[in-house]
Amino acid sequence: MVVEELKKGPEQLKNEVINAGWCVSCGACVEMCPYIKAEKDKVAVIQSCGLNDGNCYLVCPRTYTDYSSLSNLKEEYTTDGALGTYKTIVKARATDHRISSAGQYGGVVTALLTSRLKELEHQDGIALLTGYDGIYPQWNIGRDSEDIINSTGSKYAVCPGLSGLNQALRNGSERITVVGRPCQAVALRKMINYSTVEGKERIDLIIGLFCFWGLDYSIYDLLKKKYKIQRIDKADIPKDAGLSLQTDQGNITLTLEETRQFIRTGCYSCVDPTSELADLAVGSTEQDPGWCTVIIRTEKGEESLNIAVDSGLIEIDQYPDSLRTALMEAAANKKKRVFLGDPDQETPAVNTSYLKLAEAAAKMIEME
Amino acid sequence: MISLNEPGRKVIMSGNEAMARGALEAGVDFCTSYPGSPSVEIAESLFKLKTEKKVYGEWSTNEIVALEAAAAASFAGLRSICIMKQNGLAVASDFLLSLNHPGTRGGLVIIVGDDPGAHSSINEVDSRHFARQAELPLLEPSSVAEARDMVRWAFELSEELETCVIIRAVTRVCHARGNLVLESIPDKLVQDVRIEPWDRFLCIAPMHGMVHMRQEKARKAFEESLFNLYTGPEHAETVIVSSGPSALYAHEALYLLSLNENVGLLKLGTTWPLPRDLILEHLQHASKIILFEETDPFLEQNITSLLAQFGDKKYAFYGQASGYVSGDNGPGLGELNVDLVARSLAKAFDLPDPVKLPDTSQVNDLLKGSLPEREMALCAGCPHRSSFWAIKSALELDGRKGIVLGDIGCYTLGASKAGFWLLRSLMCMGSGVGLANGFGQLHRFGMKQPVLAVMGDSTFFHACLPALVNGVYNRANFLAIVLDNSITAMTGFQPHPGVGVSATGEMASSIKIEDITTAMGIRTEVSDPHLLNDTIKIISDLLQEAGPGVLILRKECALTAVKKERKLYIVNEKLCAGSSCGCNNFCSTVFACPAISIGADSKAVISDVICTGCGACALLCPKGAILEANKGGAVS
Repeated sequence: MVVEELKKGPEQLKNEVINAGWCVSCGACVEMCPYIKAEKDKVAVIQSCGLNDGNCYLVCPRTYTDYSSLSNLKEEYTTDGALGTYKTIVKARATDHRISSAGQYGGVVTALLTSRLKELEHQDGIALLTGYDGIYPQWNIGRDSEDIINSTGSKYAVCPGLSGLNQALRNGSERITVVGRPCQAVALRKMINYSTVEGKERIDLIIGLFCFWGLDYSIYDLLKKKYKIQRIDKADIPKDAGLSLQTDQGNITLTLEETRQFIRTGCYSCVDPTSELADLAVGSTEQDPGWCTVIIRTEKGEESLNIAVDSGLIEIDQYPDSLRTALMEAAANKKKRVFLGDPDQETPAVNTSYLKLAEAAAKMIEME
Repeated sequence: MISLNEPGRKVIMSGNEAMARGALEAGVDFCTSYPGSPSVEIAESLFKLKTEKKVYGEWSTNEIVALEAAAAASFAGLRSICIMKQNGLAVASDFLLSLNHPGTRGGLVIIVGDDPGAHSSINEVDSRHFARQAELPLLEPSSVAEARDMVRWAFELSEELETCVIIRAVTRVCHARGNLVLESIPDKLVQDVRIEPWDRFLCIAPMHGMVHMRQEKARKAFEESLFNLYTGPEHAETVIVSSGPSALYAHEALYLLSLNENVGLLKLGTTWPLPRDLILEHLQHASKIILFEETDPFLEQNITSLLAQFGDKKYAFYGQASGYVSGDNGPGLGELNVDLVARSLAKAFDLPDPVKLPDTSQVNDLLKGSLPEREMALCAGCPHRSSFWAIKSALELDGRKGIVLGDIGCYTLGASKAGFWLLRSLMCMGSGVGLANGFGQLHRFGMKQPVLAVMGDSTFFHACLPALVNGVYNRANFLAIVLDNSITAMTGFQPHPGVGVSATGEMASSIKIEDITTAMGIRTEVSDPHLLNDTIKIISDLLQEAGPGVLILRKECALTAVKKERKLYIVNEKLCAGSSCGCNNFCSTVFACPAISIGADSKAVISDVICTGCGACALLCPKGAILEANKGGAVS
């Protein structure tokens, strides 16, 4: 059921989100129609279609968003103000050394996709993920484990990857596993629940990543100019450090200060660092670089993780309480910075009017 | 038809063909031109005959080069003709204002096509002022037959006066068709031409006196010219002075109002220098002088000053200045016609309005609702449509509110809905990139917007090269986009230096635009505009660069391409969602290809007659509902 607040069109998307600086370049509105396009990380309404009730507006993670109605609220599930709704949290890692060494931390996403594609072998499964086009992150479609290995690794950039989903929905018939940032998981959930997008039932599984902010592509322009890099092999943001890159020009490390300048403005209004609306949310453990944190948020997510575990692609372990506390603290701090402002960076509270207000208020109380 | 050597035969020809015929009857040897409406078919008619009648013909890169080349042939003793449109004479004027000093040898005739009402021009220009400024003889034909006669005579006159003669032919003479009795075409003697050791063609100030002398000689010749004709009573109280087709309108209007017994009509065919004595003879005794002429009050002002100097009484002038002679939109705007002339006359004589027909606005009211509204549109499959959409997309994505400058060509429609209102400037040929040289320096004054200039391929050679050189030399920040449809499309597919074919159909060197701009040191990219995503990417990329950049958007004009190979696209009705699609009928209403309309159930329909198969709509359709006919899209 579409709420009244979401019955708006591209003019409002342009004014309230893009021009206001809140676009996080998820790409969900891009390529749905001929009017909205993206170039690198820039999304623009080329011309208004003249309609005032559009899918473009309602899928946007920066228009009215009601987390509770989009979450998988079940009795056996936990909901807290820091991590959202989930069944359980586990430590996980890929068993195949090739995968775990290529992937980020424990290589769980890569292993999950490998397992999922294998499982859907006869149903035409594909994965939408983010690789590189030169040095710029670019969405691509993975059809086999080779494709997936080629796109493995976090990018930390605001790639409008869901434009690729819109194209895949238009052109094919495959079931699609999407790997994306929390904002992209939100867009997908809104697309599935509210939109009239044809083929949306083909969105098979949403693997959300932990993300505390994404970087504008202007950082790549700088890297290209300053270090003459042509290719990025791997990116990481170690705890309390800036961006660390393995490139064709060797290892390049930016300080946190340098890196922060390139944070996408829209990310400052994000209160969802752990992909609360994904089926599975995956991120680092911040302690153990050989393992990943996996938050199981839906039955479908749980099922696909179990299959990967049963087939021996992934091994899991109990999530220690110490890690859980640290994760909750990190997530809560991110939310606090948004709702209350960041005293360290001397930034004020950010406009979160896109969130359903009662919920936002409740979360604040919960955190206090 | 125009080369038929059957003297005495009566034929029908267009004014342009008749002028070409006049040149042939005068034994023309050399013809140069830059295509421009309304005079384009004069040169085209001659170029078709090059072997038959041994006329050298060329499409020159621009009008000044055309006139210089024609003048050289004249210096060598050949009869030569140079043809252009009104704006072209402005381009050629620098040379014109110096050519009048040394004068010419072989007959040199310039035909300038003026376009009152701007049917196929961006502006209304009265070229007669150039004749006055350059002190050169000027002829103005009223009819098709007279146009032929004037061209033939102009060669003799040019040789007699030893200077070039300008013929101003307006659209209604160029494009009208009329009767003509053919005269013979001389057999040309083939002889070698040479430049003698004493020949000098110099423009130096002391020769100014010669220019005056030739002008006076021309005036004397004009006093006797049969192209000037007075009809009506002797010593009429009221005399009309008119030139060009207006003289015919005046003639007809006088009969319509039964004023022909009382009012004199002095039709002038030689309008600069004015035949002073002839004019004084017919106007001295009149008290009311009415002037009918198109565009500017050229005769009005010059005759007013003539009578102020030589007349012996007070005259009342009824012309543009007094507002008596006026088109629907005001004096000096648009064309005249018999109705307008008759109305003006009736006003001057206090007679009831003789015109029974409704005027334009009434006609429009009567037709309202019964005719579909038609917007200015680019042709089906026109690569400019894709180019403009790509430019618009790239600018929106860029977000800095870049500006696009333009000039004259089919792509002038970029200033309208057809080109998504992109063009912010529209002036003479080459002015887009010229202006970009200025806008491209304004970053010094805080301007943050990217500057783009579009130009056609023919325009690139015509007028853009000095501006590009300037941009490189002075490091202006702009992106020059050449909308290369590989032909001079707007004037009817004339070749240009990039095409590889000459005006007369022979193989020619093809000068590649990218070779020139690369040699200038400009980063140059080439893209097919119909490949929209690639093109948007390249423009986005080039917009990040400082200094001048060049993007050539190359795709053959759809109207020439379709003659070679034709694909057909059709709409899969099952896939097209019609008005329930979020695209809101994008293909027919926004992208607005004239081949696509809205059919049953608001679904898109592609006309198999109009579609040229460019495929751009198929790339843009969000449902993938537009398919190439023989590639899975076949409808049985």
